[in-house]
Amino acid sequence: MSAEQGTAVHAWVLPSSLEAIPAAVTQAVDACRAAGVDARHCGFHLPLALTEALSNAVRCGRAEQSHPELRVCVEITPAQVVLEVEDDGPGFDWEACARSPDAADWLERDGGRGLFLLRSYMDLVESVPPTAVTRHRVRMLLRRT
Amino acid sequence: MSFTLDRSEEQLVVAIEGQLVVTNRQEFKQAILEAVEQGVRLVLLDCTHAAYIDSSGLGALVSLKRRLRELGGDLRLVALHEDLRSLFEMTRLDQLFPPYATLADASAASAAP
Repeated sequence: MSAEQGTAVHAWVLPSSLEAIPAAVTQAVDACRAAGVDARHCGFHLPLALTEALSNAVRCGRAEQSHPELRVCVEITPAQVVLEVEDDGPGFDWEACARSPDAADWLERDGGRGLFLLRSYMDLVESVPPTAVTRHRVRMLLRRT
Repeated sequence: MSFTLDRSEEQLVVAIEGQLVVTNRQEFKQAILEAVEQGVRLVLLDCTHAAYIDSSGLGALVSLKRRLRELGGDLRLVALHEDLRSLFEMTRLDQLFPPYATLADASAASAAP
């Protein structure tokens, strides 16, 4: 389906494991590419952001499930791409977790740059807390223009 | 991502193809640390065919750089494409990893900042 003709929606369920991330990222990016999303977004911004979000979900979103699963949803319209990652975690306080390049240890630390990258490459990123009937969801929006 | 190692005495050229991310950074880091244990002190990362690097990959590079510096060596990045160059600038890691245009430039540089 061409993105110029409307909205394309794709969704996948994958095990909550690091090994499952590359295939999920490839599927999502292939869907974007097929819908006409530009090569730079498909080659860098989108796979990088989705890798970060899935990595966070694997590490922080397992809750108490014995066989945790993640769900990835991609919605592509002529104006934007929305990526969503659902996990079983409680969600997080974005402002409390995100680290800044202004921090004294920023250049020396081995981790802690993931949320900064998400925010830098996506036009909108939000953590939607779970409810009684929905799971925690990270929603990322990238405008195509 | 795949990578190839080309060692010459104390110098190691690592050519990466594809992405350096959470799923492969450990293998990448371990391969370089083994070379360092065997005497390599200058690691040149050829990014000509690199795609993207996530926060875990950046962390691996920072960790390797720190280890090499402790031993009097260095890790230098070569042939970053526009998006990778922007990534390092945006994260300010270009302060640790000033980009080099060619392997020859990186090898000849006396000391990284």
